[in-house]
Amino acid sequence: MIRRAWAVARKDMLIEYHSRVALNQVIPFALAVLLTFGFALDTRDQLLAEIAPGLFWVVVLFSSLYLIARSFRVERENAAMEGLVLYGIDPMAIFLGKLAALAVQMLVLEAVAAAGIVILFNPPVGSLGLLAISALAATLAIGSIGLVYGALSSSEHSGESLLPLLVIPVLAPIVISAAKCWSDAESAGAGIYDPWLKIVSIFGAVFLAVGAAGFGPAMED
Amino acid sequence: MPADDSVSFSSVTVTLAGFPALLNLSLEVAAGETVYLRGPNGAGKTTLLRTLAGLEKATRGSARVLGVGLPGGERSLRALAGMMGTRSHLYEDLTVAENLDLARRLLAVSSSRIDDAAELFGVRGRLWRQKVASLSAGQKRRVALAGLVAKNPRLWLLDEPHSSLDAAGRDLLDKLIAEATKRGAIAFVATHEAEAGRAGGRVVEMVGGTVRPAASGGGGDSGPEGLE
Repeated sequence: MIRRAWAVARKDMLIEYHSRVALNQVIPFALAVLLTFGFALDTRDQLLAEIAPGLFWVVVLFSSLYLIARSFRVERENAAMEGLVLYGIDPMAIFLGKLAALAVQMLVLEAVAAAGIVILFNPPVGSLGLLAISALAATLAIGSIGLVYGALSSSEHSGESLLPLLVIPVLAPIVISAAKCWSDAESAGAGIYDPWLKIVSIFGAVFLAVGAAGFGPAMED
Repeated sequence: MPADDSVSFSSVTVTLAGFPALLNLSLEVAAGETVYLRGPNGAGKTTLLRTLAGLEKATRGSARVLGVGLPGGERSLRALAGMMGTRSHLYEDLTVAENLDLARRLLAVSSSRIDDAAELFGVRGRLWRQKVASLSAGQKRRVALAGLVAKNPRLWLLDEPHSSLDAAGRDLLDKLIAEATKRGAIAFVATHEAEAGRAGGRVVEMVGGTVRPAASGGGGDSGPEGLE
């Protein structure tokens, strides 16, 4: 299964390599949103630093929705997902492969958006470890749930417009707790024993399990 | 009890969005047979192919395909079936080589098998590094067929397979189907071509989601036995 999951992940990364959608469209979109907020609130430095964590995760969530929708758009063209299914591979392999490729793209997006936040809003950073671990857990949670709902909403009848409506309410707790983690990471004494990190990690594990269990039925639907 | 290399449908109904696309369909096909499915649009030909591929679930009745029981064994069946529908199943943003390399990795077959299949359909040369998005419909068809041949399925499911192919491509495909059925594979070919089945094989007329007995092809190897 791991070999086939790797084949699926490699395929999605190759598609991104050729199409550069994440690089040329999604990352610039995320930076444009940050810049817009920066210009809109430019005289209120303290406020910018205070809202930076929440803004970061809202931008990541919205940008990720585009990546998730894109991940299924390429499967819809020529009924390619059906082709994958016809190889007789376990849906879990498809899920793991697509999650790996999506997570890589999201982590790159987060790194660039975080750099943008630091440059534009200048929030203090006390614990990089807390930031990194919470980002990883939140990425897996967003990716897992996004793939399940992406598969559900990827039929040609329902369309991509359904995806944000389905995903945002479910992912609100992870966005809130990940933003709280960042807020805590701003203080000098912050570390990986932060209570919000526990919450993000639990959400990450639960959403990963739900995603792994739900992707197959969602895909077959 | 049918042999494990045959197809047996018993009063199978497949409902799609509340509409019975297949209705009480019964059909027996032995190993090595080629079955040409003919009938008007909406007769259920494509749904039958998709059910045989494990892509649609029987809502009533039961079937046994290559030893796999339906409903329930759809996932196992997919590994045995090779389907070419009206859509190519290819990734537009990947090159021909990358699409076939994906097939190699997922099928766990050798590179030479993929190369041979690509060579056979003439996509190994200048098309090899081209993105699928830049290919013509016929070229995409050839790439998809190369993947199908590399899979070497026991059940060939072809929906209008001659569509977009040139004369050489059609002849090659017909030859490959004949070779596969000689080795014991079963082929189902949905077609609107009037001459289908004249060179051999069984013609099954479909209408209203079920089959009705039809004359066998001119050089056919079997009649409409088993049809209800």
